[in-house]
Amino acid sequence: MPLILSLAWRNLWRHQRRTWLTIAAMALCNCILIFMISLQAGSYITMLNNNLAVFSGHLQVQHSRYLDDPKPRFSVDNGIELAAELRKLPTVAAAAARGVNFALLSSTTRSKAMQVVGVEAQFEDSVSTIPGTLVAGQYLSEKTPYGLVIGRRSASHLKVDIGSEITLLGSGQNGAFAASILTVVGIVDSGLEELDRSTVFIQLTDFQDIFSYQRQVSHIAIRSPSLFMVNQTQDAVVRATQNNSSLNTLDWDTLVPGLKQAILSDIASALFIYTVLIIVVIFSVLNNQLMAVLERRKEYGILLSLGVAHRRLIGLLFAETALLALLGLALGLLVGSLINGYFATHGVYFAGMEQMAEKFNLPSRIHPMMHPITTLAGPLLVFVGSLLAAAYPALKLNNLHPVTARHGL
Amino acid sequence: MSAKLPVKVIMAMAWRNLWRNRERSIIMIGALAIAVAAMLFLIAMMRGLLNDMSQQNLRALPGDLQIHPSGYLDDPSIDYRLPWPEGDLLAILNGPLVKRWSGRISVGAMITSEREAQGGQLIGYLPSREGGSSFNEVALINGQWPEDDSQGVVIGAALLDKLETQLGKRIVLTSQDSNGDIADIGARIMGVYRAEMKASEERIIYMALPALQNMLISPQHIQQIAIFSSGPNALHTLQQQIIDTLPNTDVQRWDQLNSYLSAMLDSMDAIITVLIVVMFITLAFGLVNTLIMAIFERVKEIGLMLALGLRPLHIGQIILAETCVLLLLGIAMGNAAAGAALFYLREGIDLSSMAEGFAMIGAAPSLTPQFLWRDLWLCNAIVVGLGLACSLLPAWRAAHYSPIEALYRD
Repeated sequence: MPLILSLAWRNLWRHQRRTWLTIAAMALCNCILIFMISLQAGSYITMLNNNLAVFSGHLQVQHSRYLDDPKPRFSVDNGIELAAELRKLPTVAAAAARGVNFALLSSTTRSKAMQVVGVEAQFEDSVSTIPGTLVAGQYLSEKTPYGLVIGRRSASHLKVDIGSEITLLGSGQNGAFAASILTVVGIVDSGLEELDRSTVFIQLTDFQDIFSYQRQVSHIAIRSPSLFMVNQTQDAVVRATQNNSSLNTLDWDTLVPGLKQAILSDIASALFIYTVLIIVVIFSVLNNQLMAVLERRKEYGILLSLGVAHRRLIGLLFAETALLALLGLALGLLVGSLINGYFATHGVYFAGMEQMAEKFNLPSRIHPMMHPITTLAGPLLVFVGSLLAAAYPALKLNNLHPVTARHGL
Repeated sequence: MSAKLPVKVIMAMAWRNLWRNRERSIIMIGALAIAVAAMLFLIAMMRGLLNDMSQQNLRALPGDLQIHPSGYLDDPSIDYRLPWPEGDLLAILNGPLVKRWSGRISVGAMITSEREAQGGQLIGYLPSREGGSSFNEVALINGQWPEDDSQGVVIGAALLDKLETQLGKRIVLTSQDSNGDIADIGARIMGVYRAEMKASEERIIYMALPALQNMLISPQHIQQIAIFSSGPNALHTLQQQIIDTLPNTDVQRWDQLNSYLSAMLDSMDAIITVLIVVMFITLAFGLVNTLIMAIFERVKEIGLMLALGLRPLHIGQIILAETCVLLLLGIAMGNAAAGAALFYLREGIDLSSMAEGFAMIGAAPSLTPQFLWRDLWLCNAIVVGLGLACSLLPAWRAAHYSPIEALYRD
């Protein structure tokens, strides 16, 4: 071991209790950071995946004016054929065309204005989790002409069940009158209350017929193989649709801008807490090292008188701080990862947070994300901060004069 | 030597001891101040956000206390109705605890212009009872608010755009009447408003209660009694009185209306306490370290004091007093810093770049911190309480040094 390290190591243990207390402070802070950051990352990923998987998809191909002005006349021509083409692209995991419009739905006793979504029955389950949340009946298919799938909450609001008839009244493309009688074939429970209250699903071909869309659709929802591959998928889709200038390929951030901002604002408040935690720990390290310098003034005086350069002593101080911070880092990583590992398998349960979970479509148990970045980011900051904290004691040391220091001044 | 050391002496010694190592004390006080200030600031922001979410939630249908027919909140349909208040209820509503009250109807509807169709929510209210006071969060930008006998509607600017129509034109409102049949009426757009939240601007339509009652064939019936109490203290009493008078209704305070928000409000105190305790524990290591160092470097001196006849209790008192002064200085500075920051931001922070994210959680894009004395006391009490608890062991150990050993320690 180099001399400087063995000296630093011995210096560190001259005050065992003090050293352990500072290491414990660092380790605790690291544990909190590792756990919190991983938990946050885990919940964001879950939140994004769950929310995008329900309905919107990772990407949507729309008419370029539809996003700002969602009117029937801004539709995608030959959408079903286009969806079939996009489905063949290697970076597209799934694609399905949809029509979206509003209509008044009436059962025998109740009426409600709702969003009507026309779906490609055989592909919808590849871009949306809703078909999989069927609680009664069956999902739409060729065998269910003019069938309708409705959310559990809306079904009870309209007082309908499987087999009930629902009258649809609305206006279609170019102000055409839209009217139809549909039969409830399935009831779903998507988990998103708002969607469940406001949306019903019919077959896309029925939708085109009822709302006079001919061969048009409102958008094509696309799923990328993973959240981290959305950009590649988007590039591929843009290339595939570039000869049609009226089309736009929008990513989830544009489609659901609230989602990313909600996450960012949550990150901002969390960062604030982390910063304060780290500052508090850095102050502990600063105090620790300042004490070490102040109580060794006589010893430094002697060393300086013997001809040891200031920079050697400062190097020693930084080596000591680095060892201290390294111990805090190692201990924090060890304990933090153990805690994380436990919760990554068992999940964290938030008592009384069911409402929150429902609002953001999260499971009641959240699993922290184990990733080198989420694990190391916090502890590394603490490590760097601790080294920076040694700057002030180092400055004090630099100002020591061999003669006065020997007298403890 | 008397068994009691005068407080003045204890404090004087503690004060001087604290400043024997000025830098160390200042660093510790600084760490305490930063932690306390940050906690107080964060708590005020969290409270502000939650408060704002509750307010936004009520913006369309305000009221400190709201009475709904039971079942309505789960299934907002015209099938659930209340008669206009009379008898005992009317007596309470006209009593001293109530500032003003009114009845409303709120139903879902389909809104059709000559070009477009949209889903929306019709709110029928009595302009003579709450015009100009209840809905002052939405600003009329064109036309006028209805009178009691008006047949027209006031719609949001965003909805106006979506429907591609304009002030003075007619739209068709379609909903379900109280017989279960489809009711539709044509109504003239007599006013256009802007709201802070785009989602409500696109959805909510205001009209006079009698016109809506006529449309729904439901004269004299309402779905909501909104009550504005004479003060926050009257609210709980009022709520209980009404529950006793009207057993088969939902009587809820503004903070209970949204299950998500009321759950958040309920867990807020717990979240705050956990935050402060976690922050303090991180701080505690540094605090204990400082104290141990302070005692360690004074072992000889403590030995001398004991040899001169000071009781262990006195030594403990001096060390506890020193901790106390350190903690008090820290929290005083922390409180002052948090107070200054919150005062500076009292008008709110503009966060319009994150508007959609805030809309998603149901908050307006401007965040006004909400300061509660309760949070200040809680935060300070936890820091001082746990801080003194941390110093007990070092103080006890210092007090129980053997004078001889302590004197000859090198």
